[in-house]
Amino acid sequence: MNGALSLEQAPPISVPLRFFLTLPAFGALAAFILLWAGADALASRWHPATLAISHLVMLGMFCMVMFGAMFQMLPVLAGVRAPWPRLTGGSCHVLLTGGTLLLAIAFLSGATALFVVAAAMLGLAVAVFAGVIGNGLLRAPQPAASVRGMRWALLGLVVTAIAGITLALGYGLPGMTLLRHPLTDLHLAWGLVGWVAALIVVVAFQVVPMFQMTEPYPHRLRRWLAPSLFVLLTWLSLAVSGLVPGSAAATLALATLLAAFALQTLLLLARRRRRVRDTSLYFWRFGMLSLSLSTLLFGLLQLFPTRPDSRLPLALAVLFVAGFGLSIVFAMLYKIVPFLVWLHLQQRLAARSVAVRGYRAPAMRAVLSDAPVRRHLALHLAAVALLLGSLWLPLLVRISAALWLAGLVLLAGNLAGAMRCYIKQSRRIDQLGDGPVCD
Amino acid sequence: MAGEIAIDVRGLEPCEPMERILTRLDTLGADQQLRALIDREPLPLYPMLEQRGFGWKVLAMDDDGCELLIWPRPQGRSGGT
Repeated sequence: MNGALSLEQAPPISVPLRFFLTLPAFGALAAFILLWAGADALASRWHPATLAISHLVMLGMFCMVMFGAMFQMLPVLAGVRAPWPRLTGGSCHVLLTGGTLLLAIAFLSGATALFVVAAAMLGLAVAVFAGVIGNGLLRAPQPAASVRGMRWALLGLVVTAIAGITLALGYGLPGMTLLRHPLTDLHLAWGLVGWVAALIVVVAFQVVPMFQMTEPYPHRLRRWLAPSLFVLLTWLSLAVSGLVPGSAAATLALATLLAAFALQTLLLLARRRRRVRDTSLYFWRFGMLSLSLSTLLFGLLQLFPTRPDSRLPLALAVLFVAGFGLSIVFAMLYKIVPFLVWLHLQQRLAARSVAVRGYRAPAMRAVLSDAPVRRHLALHLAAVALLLGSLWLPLLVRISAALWLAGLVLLAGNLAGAMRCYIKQSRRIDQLGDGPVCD
Repeated sequence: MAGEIAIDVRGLEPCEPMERILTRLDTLGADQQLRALIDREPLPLYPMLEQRGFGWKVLAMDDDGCELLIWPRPQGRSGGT
């Protein structure tokens, strides 16, 4: 079984890590803009600072971590090698980094030409990524539920990208006319649910039982959740376009499915088998609590659309993006990065010689200890709470931005610490003699 | 085979299960095999087994875990089954 797997199939550790290490920089940039814009950034979804921040977070943080994780996970999950991982991973990283920066500058400056360049770079990044990873997922010899789920999430990314590029070209090309409001709503729905939530769901099916020591998710949920999200989003898109009825029913069904996932995850975490103190568990719990609350709010806004308070949709966005999405991104990073360090050290050791027995690669907790992660959790919880509070008390927004910034600096330091551990241990393995060496 | 050694690494946090299997393999005799019970199929372990000169076979796999048989491979022969 899986005898075709070989060391060469896993990409070098530099491929996923370049994505992971870039993420805090984009987060910090978004926090700087929030610090600079203050309460204006929460006044309207069309404010230039709001658009710049949201794209820095969605592209520079979510896409960054997901692209890196997928390049790493493709061989493990699908048993298929990403072709030329350094070249394809490196190209995706450069295009995503450059395109995201240019798009943020375009929103802030209004320079129309930049929208066209940013759209081209981001379109290419998604095309390379979808080509490499999509091809790998399609060629999986025995596709597991997770591989099938990732195909749906990847389709969600492609739809999001097509809508996003169309919108960006609408800014950049004066002669191009768009129905900007409904297209933006669809871009948002596909990006947040069809790509981010769908991929988090699929990844959670793997990593929650593995890293949080829980029972597996129910088989039906694993089998049907991702395709159901895709079908409902397609229905919603057609309904918004006026081709079929029932947009409210589709959105309510989406909210119900995501709430079911959140509650199932909270239930599994409550029944976890191992009771070791682990901060990533709290990131997961807070993320799922935020997802539950956001789906509840989403449902209420659908059922009572005439409610006048415009801050509620913003609260929904804060809960979904910062409370749910970012919490899960941090939870995953804090497990995946130490695991990768351990794994690549073991592979490096195995590739060198069987004679260096006795060397022990540092365990995950030795690569990244829990205390600094706990400090980041405290900053993250406070930042989300203050950002929510700032919708009603605007003076809190800059304090929240400062806390985001501090949290991201801490994250960068934690990831850099894991990298230093990898470099130090790699040198040590390279210097090992033929005799047994104990760590 | 002169002997079979059993190891149960279920319920342990990553990367302990793979770590314990690799450590146990370090002391495995040429005519011995290791039977390991693990929570889930350890896909990243296979390339390491390949590189270290072991063969392997998945005996059973379900929601309760995976049963794996690992043995030293004669030189020049590859892979799991």
